[in-house]
Amino acid sequence: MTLPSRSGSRGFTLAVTLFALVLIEALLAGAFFSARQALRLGTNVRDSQRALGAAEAGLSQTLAGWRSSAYGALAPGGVASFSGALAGGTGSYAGTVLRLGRSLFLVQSTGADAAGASRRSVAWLVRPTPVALPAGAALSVTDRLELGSGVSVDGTDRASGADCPPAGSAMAGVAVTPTTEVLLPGCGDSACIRGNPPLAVASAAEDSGASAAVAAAWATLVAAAAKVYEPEDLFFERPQPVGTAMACDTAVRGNWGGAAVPGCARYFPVVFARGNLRLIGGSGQGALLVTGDLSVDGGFSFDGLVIVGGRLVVEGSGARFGGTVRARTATLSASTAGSAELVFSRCAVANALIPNAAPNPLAERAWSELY
Amino acid sequence: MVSVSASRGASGVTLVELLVVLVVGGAVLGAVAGVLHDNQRFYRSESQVLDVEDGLRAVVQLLPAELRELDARGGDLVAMGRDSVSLRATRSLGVICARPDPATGVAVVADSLTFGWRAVDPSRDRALVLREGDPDTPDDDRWLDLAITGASAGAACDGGGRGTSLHLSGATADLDGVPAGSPLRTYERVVYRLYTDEQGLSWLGERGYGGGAWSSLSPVAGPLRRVGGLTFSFYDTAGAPAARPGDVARICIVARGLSAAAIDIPGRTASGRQYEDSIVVQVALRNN
Repeated sequence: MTLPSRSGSRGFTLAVTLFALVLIEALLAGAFFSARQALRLGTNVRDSQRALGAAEAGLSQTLAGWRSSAYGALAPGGVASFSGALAGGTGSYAGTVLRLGRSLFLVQSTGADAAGASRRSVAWLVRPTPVALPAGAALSVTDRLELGSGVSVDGTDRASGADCPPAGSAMAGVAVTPTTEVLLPGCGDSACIRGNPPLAVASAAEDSGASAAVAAAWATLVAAAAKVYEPEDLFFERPQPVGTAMACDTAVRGNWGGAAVPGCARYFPVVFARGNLRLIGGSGQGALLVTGDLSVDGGFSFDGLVIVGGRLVVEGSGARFGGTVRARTATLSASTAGSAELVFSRCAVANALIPNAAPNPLAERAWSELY
Repeated sequence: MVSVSASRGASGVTLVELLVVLVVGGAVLGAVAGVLHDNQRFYRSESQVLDVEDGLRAVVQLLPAELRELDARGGDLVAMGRDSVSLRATRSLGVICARPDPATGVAVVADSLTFGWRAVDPSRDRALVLREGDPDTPDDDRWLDLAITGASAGAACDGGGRGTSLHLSGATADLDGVPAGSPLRTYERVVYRLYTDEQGLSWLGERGYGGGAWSSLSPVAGPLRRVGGLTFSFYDTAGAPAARPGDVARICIVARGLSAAAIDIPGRTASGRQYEDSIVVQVALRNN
C-alpha cells in the first residue's frame, strides 16, 4: 500500500493574505463610514438651507409680482397657485395664495433644493395696502357745482358690496372748497343733500392736502388700469358684466364687473379714459378715472371710486354712483323718468382699491415657518 | 508485507522551520495588533470630532429656527443675555374656520389649515389670535394673547371640513368681531441657555414653561465649551447693539464645541488635546 504525497498543501500564506485583506478592508470601510457620516450631515444642513432660501424666494417673488386680477378675484377660502425656479438652477418653489378674508391673504411657499432632497415651507400673512385717499364725501367738487332737479346726494355710509364690514359713520354729502361756485337751483334749500354735514367746505390747506393725495392715488391707479380708453374710442355706450356664475370674462373690454353676473361680483377693474367719456346706461364697479369730461345718462350705475379731471355731467334719465365721486366741475340733473343719485360707501371704495393695491406683510407676526 | 514509501515533503517541520514561523507570525500579529490599536484610537478620536461637529450643527439648526420667527417688537423676545435667551417660540399657525364665541372662548381651527411642529398642548401653549377690526385698514390690527385651557378634535367648520376646538381664556370678549378666516398662532415660553451637567460637560439647554412652573433644563445640543460655548449678540435695525429686547432685529449666535475627551489623531493640530470647533450664524428676525 502506498500513501499519497501532500507536498502541494504546505504553509498558510493564502490564509494570512486573506486575513490581512479583510482586516485592511474593514479598516478602510470604517474610515469611509466616518467620513460619509460627516459628509451626509453636512450635506443635509446645506440642502435644508437651500430649500429655505428657495421657499423665501417664492414668497418674495410672489409679492413682488402680485397678480391683482387673479388674487383679488378670489372669494374668501379661494386658492390660486404659483411656482418658479431660482436662477442658476439652485432650487425651486411652489405654493399657494389663499384668501382668508376681505383683505387678508396667506401666501404659502414650499422650497426645494436642486436635487429635491430637502423641502422647507414658509408663509406670509399679507394684506393689500390701498392708496390713501382723503375721507371724502359722496361728492367732492373743486370749481363749480350745480345740482338740478331729481338729484340726491347722501353721505350716509352704505355697506353695499361683497363682504362689507358694518357701515361706518356718515360723511359729508358734498365737499367743496372755499372758492367753489355752488348752484342749487333744483335742490330747494339743500334738501337734496344729506350727510354729516350735508355740505362741507374744506379749508385751503385741507383742499391742498386732499389734492395731493388724490394725485398720488391717481398715478397708482392708472398704473394698475385694466381697461384703457384712448381718445379715438371715447364714446362708450353700455358697459356690463360678462361671464358665468363661476367665471368672469375679464378680456371683454366692456366688462367692468358687477354682481349682476355672479362670476364678476369680485371683479373690480380700474377703468382709465384718456380724454372725454360718455356713458349711456350699463353698469360697472371698481375705479373709474377720466382725464377729461364724463357724461352719463340712461340710468348708468357704478360702485366704487370715480375721479373726473374735467366736468361730470349727469342728465336725462340719470345715474347712480355708490362710493365716492370727485370732479372739478359737476352738473347733475335728471328728468322725471330717472334720478341722479350719489351715495357714499366706504365699502365700495375699499372694494375698488383693495384688489388693485400692492400687498404688504402684516405689521406684526406676518412670517411663519410651516415645516 | 506493507511497503511504506518515503514522502520527504510531508514528513513534518523542523525546529528551525517552527522557529521561523513563530517569529514571523509573532511579528505579523504584533503589527496587526498595533494597527488595530491605532485604529481604535483613531475611531475614538474621530467620534469625538463628529460629536462636536454634530452638536454645532444641531445648535445652528435649532436656534435659528426658533429665533427667525420672533416678533421682537411684539414682545416675543422676552429676555436676552450673553449666553441665554428667553422667548415666545411659535409652535403652530392655523386658521379659524368658524366665528369664535366670545362667551365661551371657543375657537375652531381648521385641521386642513394647521401647520406646526406638534399638536397643541394646552399645558404649555398659549394662543395669539389676529383681530383685524376694520378689515379695510391695517391700523387697528392686533394679536389677542389668550390662554389655552383645552383642545378637542372633531369640531365642524363653517362651510364643511373638520377642525379642532381650542378653549381660550382671558380677554375673550375681544374675540367679538373676529371672523372666520382669522389666523391663530400658538406659542410656548422657552429659555435656551448654556449649562453644565453633573459630568462637567456643557450643553445648549432648554427649559419650557408649563402648568405654572418652569421645567428643569435639559440638553438639546452639544457638547460645548464651558466658558464661551454659546454667546448671543443682539442688534437693532441699524446694526448697532440693541439695548432692549423690543429693538432687536438681528441675532448673532456663536457656538464653540469642545470634545468630552482628548483626541489623538496624527496630523491634527489638536492632537493630544480636546477637540474644538466653532460656528457663527446670523439670524434676521423675519417679523421685525
